[in-house]
Amino acid sequence: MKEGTNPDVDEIRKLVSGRLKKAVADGPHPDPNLLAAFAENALPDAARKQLLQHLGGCSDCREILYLAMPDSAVAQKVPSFQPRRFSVFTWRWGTVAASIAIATALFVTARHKTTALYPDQKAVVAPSAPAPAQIARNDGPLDRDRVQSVQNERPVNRVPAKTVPEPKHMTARPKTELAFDSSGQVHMRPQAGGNTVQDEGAAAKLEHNHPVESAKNATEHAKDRNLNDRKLIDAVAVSAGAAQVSGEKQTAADLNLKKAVAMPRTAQGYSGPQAAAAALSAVLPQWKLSADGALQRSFNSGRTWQNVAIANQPSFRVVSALGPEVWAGGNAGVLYHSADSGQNWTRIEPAVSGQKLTADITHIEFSDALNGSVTAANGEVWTTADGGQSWQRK
Amino acid sequence: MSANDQRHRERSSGLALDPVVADLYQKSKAAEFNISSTGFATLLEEVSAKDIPEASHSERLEQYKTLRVDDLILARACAGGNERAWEAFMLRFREKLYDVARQITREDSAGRELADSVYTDLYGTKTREGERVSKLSSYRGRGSLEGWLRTVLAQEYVNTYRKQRRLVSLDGESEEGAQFSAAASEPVTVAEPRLEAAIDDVLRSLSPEDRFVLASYFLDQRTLAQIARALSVHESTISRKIEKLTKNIRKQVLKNLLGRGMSRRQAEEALSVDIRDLALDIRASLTQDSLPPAFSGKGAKAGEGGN
Repeated sequence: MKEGTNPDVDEIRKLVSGRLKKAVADGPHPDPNLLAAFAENALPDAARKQLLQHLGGCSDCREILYLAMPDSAVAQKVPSFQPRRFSVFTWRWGTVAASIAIATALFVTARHKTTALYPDQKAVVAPSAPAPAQIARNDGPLDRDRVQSVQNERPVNRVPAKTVPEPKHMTARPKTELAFDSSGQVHMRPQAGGNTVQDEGAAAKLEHNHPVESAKNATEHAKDRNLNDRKLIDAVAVSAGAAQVSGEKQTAADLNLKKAVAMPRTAQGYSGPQAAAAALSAVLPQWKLSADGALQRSFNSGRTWQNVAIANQPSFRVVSALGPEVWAGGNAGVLYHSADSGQNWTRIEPAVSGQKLTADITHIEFSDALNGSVTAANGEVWTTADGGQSWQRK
Repeated sequence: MSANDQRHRERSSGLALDPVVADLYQKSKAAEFNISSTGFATLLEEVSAKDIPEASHSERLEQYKTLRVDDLILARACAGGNERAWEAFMLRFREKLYDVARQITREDSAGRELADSVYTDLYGTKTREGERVSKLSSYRGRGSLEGWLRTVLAQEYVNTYRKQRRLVSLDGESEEGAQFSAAASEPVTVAEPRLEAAIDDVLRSLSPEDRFVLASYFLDQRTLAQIARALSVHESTISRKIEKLTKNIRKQVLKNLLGRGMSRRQAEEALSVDIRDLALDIRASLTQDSLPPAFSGKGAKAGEGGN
């Protein structure tokens, strides 16, 4: 019913208004207790009926009742009607438009990246594909020779990209197990019979045999480390070459693999094995702590998270990652370090003059792979300039 | 003193708390404001005696359950001068009261003045038998304390507004040089007595809620939404009710006029002629100034104010 537009209503309005005005209200005026209870629908029926009897004849009490009501009619109508229609319409079509825009953007971006990195892949991949060569240019002479030799060994018979199935070993994350040795160190071990290809499996195997050294035996393993560095570079180069052959549909993991190999070693001072290990992890994972202090990482931008098992299952309070370097600290001075995106872990025990860090670690900050600080709950700040091998307390 | 000791002492002194009262005592957090369980029980009895004086014990217990005991305790603790209670009260209601006052007066300065005036009453400037009397002591917990405060503000505004309106109208007349004007003559109405009687009969036959709806809609010009909110129903319910009422009233008035010896044609003519006269009368009535006595709650008759 539209207010004031119905002739019948107007006629009755004129008929009854005068008589209503002359009506005498029954009984005493209600006190604010009754009016407030009535407005909140908290009166029993009898009291409500009695009050309505009075209100029907008392314009002042009606005025008080309406003045005391929380919201005006206008204020009620606006949020209950117009915004709802607007929001339904907006969300429905806005969602469709946003979906189309995102899909288009992703498609264009993927195409752009692929064509920019591999401009000649549309027909047949040229033998002088640039990726391994670019890797080699950033390496020392020995590594460059290795990579070049791998490149030369690649099969010459190329096939159009669209006809070749995408190699799963470059797109899927290799399933790994974490193994612990008696010293408390953690190592990644590729699963037997998994989808891991031979090259990557070999690299992982090498990595399995190459735990991150503790401060004491770092120098003893230096030679082995250099040897393993070269092997790992070979493995990465072979993997990169395989990716090059795979065709135009390179995945983000493929691209990140190359970036991970090429970028960190010079810019952040990472050595070959660290960069190679990071490359083997396909992408640099994201890190977080679960509610119960378990360390978790994600290789798909946070869509899924996997727990990282560490010996003795320490409860962490803080995690810090810089490239493949990951530091995790927890209660009672528990500090773990991984130089390869969490594939191998080493327990670090900061100590100065025989005094160890025993307070809870609340903050970790590293500016690069070597220099960083750890803040404890008792206010102590422990700093290192050699990646955790020696510490200073402030 | 442990709870068991207290219970034992209360039993021995004949003041054992009913479980309902004991439960409400816990919910009210009266202990935070140093109100004992016996004091709480006495307060409930006092409230109940005012609201339902002749109720049985079980009926009173049922009524206790409907009370806003936490608000009631806060109000009574404030009235008793408990500083902690006042802190809690100010924290909850200070800004809210100013907002409500502004909403009622639709003006910032007037709203602040209204709120300050009510705060003064709430704190209590008058004394009775040497004790300060706070308006909060009249709150009985039937609705929320916030709703009660809103109503107190609205009541104060209406009273103040009426007073100011009378004063301003005299000043206004003086400024306009109209103080010597002849008194406005009563509008000449040629209402058909039988029609008025018929309408009165029909209105009397309506339910109190229907009369409230008609008065709100036709006299006070309230919107459907406002009426619906006051009655806690949907707006469309009020719309349908008014439509139904208008049809029914016309039909009943015509029937009543026929019963009073009018022919159908005479009745229709009486309706159409007198509508204009009644309209004139309504305009005159709406501009009439009336002031009911203050809402003392002590039996002030509504009709005394010229209503």
